[in-house]
Amino acid sequence: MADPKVILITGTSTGIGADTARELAARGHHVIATMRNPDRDGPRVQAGFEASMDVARCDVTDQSSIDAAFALTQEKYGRLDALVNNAGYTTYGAVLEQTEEEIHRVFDTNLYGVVRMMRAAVPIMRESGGGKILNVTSIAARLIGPLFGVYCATKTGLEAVSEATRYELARHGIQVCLVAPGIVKTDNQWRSFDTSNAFNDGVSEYQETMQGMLDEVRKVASGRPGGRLNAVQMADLIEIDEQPLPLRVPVGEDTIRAFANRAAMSDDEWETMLWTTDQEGYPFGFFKNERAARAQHFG
Amino acid sequence: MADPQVVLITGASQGFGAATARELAERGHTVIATMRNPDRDAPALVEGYAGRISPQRLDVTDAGTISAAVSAALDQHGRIDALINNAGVSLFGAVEEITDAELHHILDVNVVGAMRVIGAVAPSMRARCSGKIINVSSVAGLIGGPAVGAYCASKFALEAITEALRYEMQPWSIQVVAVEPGVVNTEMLHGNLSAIASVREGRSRYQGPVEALIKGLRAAANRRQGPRSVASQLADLVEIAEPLPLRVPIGDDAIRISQQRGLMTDDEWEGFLTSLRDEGFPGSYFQAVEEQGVG
Repeated sequence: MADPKVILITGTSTGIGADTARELAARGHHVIATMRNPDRDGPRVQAGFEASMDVARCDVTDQSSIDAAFALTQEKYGRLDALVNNAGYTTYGAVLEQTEEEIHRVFDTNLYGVVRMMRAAVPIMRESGGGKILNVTSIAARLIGPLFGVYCATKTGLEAVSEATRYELARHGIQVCLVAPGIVKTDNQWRSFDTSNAFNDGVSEYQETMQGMLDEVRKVASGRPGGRLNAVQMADLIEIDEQPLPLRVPVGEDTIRAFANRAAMSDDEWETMLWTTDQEGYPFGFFKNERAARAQHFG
Repeated sequence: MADPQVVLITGASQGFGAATARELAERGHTVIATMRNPDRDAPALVEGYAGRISPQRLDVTDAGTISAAVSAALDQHGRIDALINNAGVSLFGAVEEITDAELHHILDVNVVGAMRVIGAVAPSMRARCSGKIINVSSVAGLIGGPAVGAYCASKFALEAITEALRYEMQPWSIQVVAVEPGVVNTEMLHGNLSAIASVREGRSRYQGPVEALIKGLRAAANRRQGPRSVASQLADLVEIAEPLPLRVPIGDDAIRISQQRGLMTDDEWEGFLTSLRDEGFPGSYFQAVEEQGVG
């Protein structure tokens, strides 16, 4: 077994974060599992791993809670070997219908939150002689789709920030690596995702199309596996003693396939495929619905 | 959770096979875990999973054991939803020194063995117009390397079989997939690595480089993860309701290599591979050739 490492993870109340915290604890590592509401969610995540897992409150949009979580880590272990920036949420809505407040809120969690966490982690890691930072991106970072463009923007932004910090932090022995899950049957993707107020109020211009798309997302996600493979892959990346880790690790057959297909196509080929395919399922329903309206303008 | 599936897996006594059997059982599926010697190996595997993992004797080189195990599984469970062809052996040694018998054995286990099990399981899947056949290949099924030519040949062949079978089985909605794990820390790389006779007897022209490669591969395995990623990925593939891709590389190294290889010409790839000089795989081979030469 690999030597026990000290790992801080955000967003561990459910889904991939909870699975990853438990996978790492099961492998004998020290996990600081952070979440917004540890009183409510902590005991369930920690069950069976009370000795090796600390549960701490950390809201990535709240600097004082971040400082407290790192203070706890420093005090208890004096080092940090890996940080997993997992906290994030999906939001659906037409780009121009998402309010400033909605856009700010999702960027605050998915992008600024990660930057805040990295800023707090780097001093401790530097003192420990290096470390690993895994930033959880998404299949959506490379497969931009309609009606969740703002979410895609948070993830493409995260990819840019991760790649830049990968180069900037190499001098300290810190490796930044992107982990890209596909569609996973987690609450975030399946049951309780966030939708724009315009849609919630029934006044979106894309009301029916979006309803159809969300139904498709739920249907696809309900037939997908849970977060376990992602948890195992991240635990492996933390344990692997081989340098350097890749910049980007797609996880799951859907993401591996989608990234390869997208990389092999020109933008024109990709767009033509989206508008002409008869494939079923998410996100093709959108393109089928919109095809006729588009044809009136662009032939 | 996905509906409970009935999964038959070969080579379940250790490594990928054992880890996958346990992962599937933990997720609530029924596993027929087949192995050559269940009397010796099944108790350790089944411990804690009684009722969910049923061990069966099956040697992929022995057709009688295959039909007996498949019949028993169908009698007991009425169906096999997924077949995981995991049983396989490795072989280290330079191509020119591999004997006919050595080559025949590895192909018999890794290729013909998988085909025999497929032949036994496919009729019941066809009858139900449903099923998944998952062949455990390797990155060695995507790229060739020195001193592992026979192993690569067996995995390249398994890839070809997988692709042909995938098209043939489509009319019955049977999905056929190859998975390619990278370097994983399992018993296969730490137990008695099977080297060809000339290497075992210390009379190979390539003795130093082959030994360096085996040592490098073991060292690489020590730096890498155990079989959990393979187990999770295989269990996911069993559960997933959507159409599966032809190939699924497993682990950061395999994903990376399959992507790189796909983007490079043969010339670029050869230049990259032969420039490697490290303690891993296959750099340790080239380094040994450079330092010691070959006989």
